[in-house]
Amino acid sequence: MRNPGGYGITFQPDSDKVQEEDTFTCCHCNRIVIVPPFKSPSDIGGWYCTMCDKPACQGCNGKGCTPFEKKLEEIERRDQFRRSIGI
Amino acid sequence: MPNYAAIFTRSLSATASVGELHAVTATLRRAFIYDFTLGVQGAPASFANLWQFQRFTAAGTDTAVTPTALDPADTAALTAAGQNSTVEPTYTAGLILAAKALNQQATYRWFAGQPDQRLVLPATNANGIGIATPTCGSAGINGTAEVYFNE
Repeated sequence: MRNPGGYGITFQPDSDKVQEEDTFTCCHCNRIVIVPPFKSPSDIGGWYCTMCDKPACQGCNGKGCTPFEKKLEEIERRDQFRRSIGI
Repeated sequence: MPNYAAIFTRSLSATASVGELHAVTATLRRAFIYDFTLGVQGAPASFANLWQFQRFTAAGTDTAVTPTALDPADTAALTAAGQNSTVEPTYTAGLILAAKALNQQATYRWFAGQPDQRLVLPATNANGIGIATPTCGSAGINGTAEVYFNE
């Protein structure tokens, strides 16, 4: 996957090598997904959302496009409403 | 956008979280985790732990941790941080943002290379992200999670 955007590094004490991995963050649920070398999101059960133009995870596959930003706004509006009525 | 570091340490347990970050009503603001490091402080031994970052909708009761501003000129963080919770946060089932199984001797670091890769905490009271070890071979040994975020 080209330009996954996130990176993970595992340091093992009994080895001089570190294990590196590429990750992407799902554009629909904000989950971190590890991408094996030379694989695309669709190879690991995920997909590429053409609406967001970003990769999405396996759990969001087939659920349509709801950007995470929109979900955040809904969460925050719900909280604002609750506070406005004193809950 | 100021950057902060919060370091959580706890005697690891399968039922008690290592630490948590969340927004508070008086100072609501989104926070973005862009880097974290996980490790165990105990003497080298071969135990397996599963580290998880999970969303919660109600913060637990914990000991406050003061995030350190990476630039001394920045003001104090508005996001609340805590460790050693006596009452666990109310985690949302299934909303696990990161899960990493690690040997006790290993250290893991993740970082976001681009802004849209960060983990986001909503600007909603008591909502946030907790760090837990639901599978814990190193029970009773101190584990540390170092979390960098901006807001």
